Amino acid sequence: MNFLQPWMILALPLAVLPIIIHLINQRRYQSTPWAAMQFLLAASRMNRGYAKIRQWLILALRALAIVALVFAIGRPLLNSSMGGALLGTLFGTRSTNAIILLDRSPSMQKSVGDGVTWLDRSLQQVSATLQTTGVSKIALIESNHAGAIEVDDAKLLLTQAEIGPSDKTADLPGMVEEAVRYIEDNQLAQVDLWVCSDGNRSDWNPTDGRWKTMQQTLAEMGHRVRVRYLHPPKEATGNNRFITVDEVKVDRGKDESGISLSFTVTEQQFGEKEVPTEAMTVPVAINLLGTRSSMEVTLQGGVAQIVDYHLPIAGKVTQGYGSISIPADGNDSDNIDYFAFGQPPAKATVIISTDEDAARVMELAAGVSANPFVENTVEQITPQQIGAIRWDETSLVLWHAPLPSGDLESDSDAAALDAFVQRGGTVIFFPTATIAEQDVADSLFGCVWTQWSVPPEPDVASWRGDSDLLAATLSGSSLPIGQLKIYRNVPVNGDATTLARLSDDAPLLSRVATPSGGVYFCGTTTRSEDSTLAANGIVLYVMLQRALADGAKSLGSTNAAVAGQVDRQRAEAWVTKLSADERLSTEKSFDAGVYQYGDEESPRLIAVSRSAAETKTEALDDDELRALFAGVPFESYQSESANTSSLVEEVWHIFWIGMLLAMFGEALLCLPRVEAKTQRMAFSGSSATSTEKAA
Amino acid sequence: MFNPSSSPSEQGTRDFLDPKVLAALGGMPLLARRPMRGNVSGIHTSPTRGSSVEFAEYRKYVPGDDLRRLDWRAHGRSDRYYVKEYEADTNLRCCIVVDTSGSMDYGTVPKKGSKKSNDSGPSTKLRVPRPGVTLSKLEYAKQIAATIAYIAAQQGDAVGLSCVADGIVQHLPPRRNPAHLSVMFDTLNEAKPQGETDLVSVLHQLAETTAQAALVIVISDFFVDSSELLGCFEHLRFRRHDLSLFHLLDPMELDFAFSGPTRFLDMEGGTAMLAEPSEIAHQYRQAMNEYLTDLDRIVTRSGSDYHRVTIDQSVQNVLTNFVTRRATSRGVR
Repeated sequence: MNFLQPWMILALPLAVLPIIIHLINQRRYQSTPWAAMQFLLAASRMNRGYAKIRQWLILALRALAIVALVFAIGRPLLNSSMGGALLGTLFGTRSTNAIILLDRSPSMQKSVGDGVTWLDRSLQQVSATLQTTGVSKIALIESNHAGAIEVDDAKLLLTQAEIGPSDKTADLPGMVEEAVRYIEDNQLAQVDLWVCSDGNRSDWNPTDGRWKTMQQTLAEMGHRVRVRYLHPPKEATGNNRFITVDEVKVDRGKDESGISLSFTVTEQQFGEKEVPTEAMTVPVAINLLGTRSSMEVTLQGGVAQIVDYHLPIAGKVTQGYGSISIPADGNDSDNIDYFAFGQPPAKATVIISTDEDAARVMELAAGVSANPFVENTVEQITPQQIGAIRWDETSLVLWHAPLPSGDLESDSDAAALDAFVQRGGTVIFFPTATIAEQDVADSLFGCVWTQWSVPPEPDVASWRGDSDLLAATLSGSSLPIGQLKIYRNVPVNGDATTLARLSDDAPLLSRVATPSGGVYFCGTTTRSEDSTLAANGIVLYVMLQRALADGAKSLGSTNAAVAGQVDRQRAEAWVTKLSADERLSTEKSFDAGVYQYGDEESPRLIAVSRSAAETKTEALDDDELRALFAGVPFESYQSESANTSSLVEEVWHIFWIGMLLAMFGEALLCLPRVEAKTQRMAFSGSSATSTEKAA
Repeated sequence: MFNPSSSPSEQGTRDFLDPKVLAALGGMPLLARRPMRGNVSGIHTSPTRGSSVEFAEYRKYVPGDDLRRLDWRAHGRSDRYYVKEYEADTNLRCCIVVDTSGSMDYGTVPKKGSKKSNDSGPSTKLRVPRPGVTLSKLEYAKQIAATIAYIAAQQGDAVGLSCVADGIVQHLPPRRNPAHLSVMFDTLNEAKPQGETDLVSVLHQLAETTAQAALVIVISDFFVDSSELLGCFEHLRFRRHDLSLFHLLDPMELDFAFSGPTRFLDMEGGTAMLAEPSEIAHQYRQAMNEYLTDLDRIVTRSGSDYHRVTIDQSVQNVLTNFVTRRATSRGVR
């Protein structure tokens, strides 16, 4: 229990006042001679049990009434988990500052009853609590923007613009980091760090390296900072279906065009309930260029994946957009997804080489497009011109030059290439005529060249025909890899998957495992003295076209973006075509929807979607949360669905009632006993009729 | 004969005698409930046959009987000799026992004529005995004793007085001499409340020492063990005494209407006791109630003429009631 007027506790010793008065009263006795002493002694002997403790009960009730009065004036707050704050308030360490970390991610938009989302409810409760307890300084740190928003009054928390729902995944480590920075910059003495979140693992990212640093920093602050975490109500369970657009392909014909839409509908359960295994039919509404259609999908085991669902478009349409949605459920933020399509960009290949012959072959293989509607462009540059590469428009990099170093900080080329791969681009490394020292010592992707060697047999001994660059065709025909002759080879050394081997077991083509994009090491070149890759051009052509297609996938998604991963300033100029209601115009980069950008002559469309990580409902448990804030006072509160008010409640009225009850009880105990009165009447009667009795 | 209207110098401070009460009771005889053996003629029934006009019974003639008392008519009807006997009237011996122990000094009822005499209603203030202002039980007992003695003397009975506390403090044997009444009043006047009560022993002693059947009137608060009272009452009855009891109580002793912590000082020299009256009032009344119930049972069993009197009652009413009841129960032999 906490008190808004804790100094009133100092008045608690007044509770002994009735006892002192009683003792003083006892000393101020009156003396009187008395004849019927034998009855007095008998009465004293009989006075036991209830009669003996009655006076003490009266005293206790009087003391209780004073205690209740003191407590009531002290304005007590009821919340057992805040009990620890009592000593703090007594010794003047009461928090006068509050920092609110507001997670606005889509997972916060699950309903907690009455159509209210957890995002709204948690902030309402914190606002009401701060209004009740009172703080001098309030700062709001929300998940979309860096920096803290200072709020003058707790009431104004709910009127802030930046508290609405968002589709960006929250970065809780970054938000806590921001809070720590705010505390240090403002030299705050006592801070309550209120965390309004649902504990979604993707938002908290407990494996993030920043947690350890922040935990140490907060722990060093001692008891200056107290973390108060608001748990979503346990009742907020139920089902949640979400829909995601996987791919949009444009189908172009002579007379009409259309799109092939691939999407997935998934069912999840909040809480610990399992997803039902029986088939379920879910209606899906599709909005394509304002034309609405619907279909039904059947979920098997909680999932339905629709691939290339054709939607015709009348006329020749070069670009368009739409949305796909399912009925409302426990979280409305993931019931709709957006898509946009347009003219596919050219597939650009950059060859980095000083060997004109080798580069010429690669240029021919990469420059011929397999799709008549898509243009392939090839640009050959020297290693000194790497800085001029337009990475955003490049799908494939053929690196026939010394390997980039592994030092990303000092080597800008390496950093750019790493970013290119992370974005989804593909790079194939070819060995140079002379293997440099750097190529055998340190490399960006953990693999290095060895030295040129001549295999005992020039044939490719084995290769993986089931997947990747050397996979068989859709008709099942194998690529003519067996016809290749490899005269010289540089085996790659490092942690890579071998896709093709020579007769001496030396790797010819290897792939490095990366989270995104593709990194390949080809041990030979297209020069005629090294291999017959140029003479037998089918393998090289297919290999490069496949690598180009993979790399272009990320570029093909120039019509798609993930909320929060788009430059905010760039997005401010976008024009909204489709979006959820009540979103801030300044937060387009954080909100799912379809936006138009570019000049009026050649406008382009982009569909912003929520992060795939937000579809995961796994939440951190209390222990994991406490572990993140180890060494920091941490208190968690379990919210209740029905509770729309403050987490703490003033309970002075209970003490008023208690005081009244105590006074009432005291009055009852002080009343003369009814039987005593009856006896007195009997004495009077006997006195009057004694003579008649005797007679 | 003592004259109640004589001057105060002759009577001393005999304020226990109220001429109005005496005048009201003057025409009412004080009768014994049992036959008394007096030595002179009086108004009380005697166990022996006498020469009054009231026929008692027939008795067979035996030689030596006075032939003048033969009933010749009865002889004519039955041819047998019967002697006609008549009731004898005699005087009685009235022994008045007044308890003068310390507890009899208690009294909270204002005296007549005092400033607080009109405060007859219940008061929440502490009522305490105040000499000269409040009427003590002993003073009330003196009024009863003196009035009864006067009535008895007036009708020719012998009256005696015993003042008792932890023993017999003063004893005046019954006398018919009018001067004896004056001595008796002087003794009453000088009686002071002091000492503990040993009423049971004293009554046993009086039962033994009083040879002839007498009217024994005990005036006391009877603050002794009730179980012991039965023995002495039965002892007196066994000695053929007509026992009358005046049980005097102050209203405060019944109500116990004290408030606030009070230190009770034992009037018979016992230890003092500090108590919160509100805590023990219920138990006190319960103990008092049990005691009075026991006393009722004892007096009923011993056939005593019992009068429970609170000292706020009028002496005249109490004695009128006493005398009247006795007249209606006369004749028990």
